[in-house]
Amino acid sequence: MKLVAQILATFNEIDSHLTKIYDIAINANDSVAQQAIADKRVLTENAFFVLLWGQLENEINERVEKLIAAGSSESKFETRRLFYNLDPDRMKFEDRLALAADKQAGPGSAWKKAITYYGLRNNIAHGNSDRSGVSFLTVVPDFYDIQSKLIS
Amino acid sequence: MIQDVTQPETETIDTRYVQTRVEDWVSRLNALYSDLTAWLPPGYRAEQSQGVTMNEEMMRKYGVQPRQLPVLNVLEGDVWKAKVIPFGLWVIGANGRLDVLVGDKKKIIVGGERDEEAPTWRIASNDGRSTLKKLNRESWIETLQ
Repeated sequence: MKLVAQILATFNEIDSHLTKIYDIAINANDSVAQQAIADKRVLTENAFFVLLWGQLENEINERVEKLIAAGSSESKFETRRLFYNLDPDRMKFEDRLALAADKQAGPGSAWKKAITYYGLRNNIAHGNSDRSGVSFLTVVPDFYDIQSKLIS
Repeated sequence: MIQDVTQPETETIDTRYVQTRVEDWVSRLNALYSDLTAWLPPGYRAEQSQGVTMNEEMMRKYGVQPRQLPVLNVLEGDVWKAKVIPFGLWVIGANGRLDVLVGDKKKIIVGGERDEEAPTWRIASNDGRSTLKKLNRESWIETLQ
């Protein structure tokens, strides 16, 4: 999560400009300009959501890599052999996450939240999102909450 | 907790569903504007002569007609102080969001969970560091300072 502050600061700078010209379009009662700026704002928010998600995904990947490295060097063969075929670079995100968060935990768990955000991220990345923006003031604390619940 | 994430939409999403959510949003906005107007300090007034068009992706996808939403402008006497602008309903991490422009500063208001008996709202500066707090008379007056 090293770049979160930098990403948010950059977003706020761009958002300030878009908000300013959106306000001008409202004052001018220019609905065409309003819609064009509103669409740009959605695109910007979605793009920065994907960047922020990347920060959390890195965190998950690092935990998983450490876990696999530790497991692979266990002295007991019974434990060690479970990790031999695990390659983080070849694992699906769900499989990596399952090593760092309890898949069977319920609503509010790191697993449930992360997998839902991952779905939202995928929709944006593949151009299928039906969301109109992001509330970073709730999403970012949630990402930190997920990070704090990851199992090492 | 974030409803989007803890309780993803499980209802069947169709035109009727989207229309119902839009109506609920309009109703929540009207109630919010009533509260914000009632909470204004003496000498302040609010007016709703400006508007924005709500035409979110969910509405386009399910053929729901665009909707005109009021913008709430706050004035102290005849001097403009603040503007509350509906941003969007289907926002990741919130059940609706509004922008609040106060001078050259911006705050945001986010809607609470969908299953609340009475709708709640939270407000904070949009600076990436602030924490959301309950929107009430006190936090609203603080916003206008």
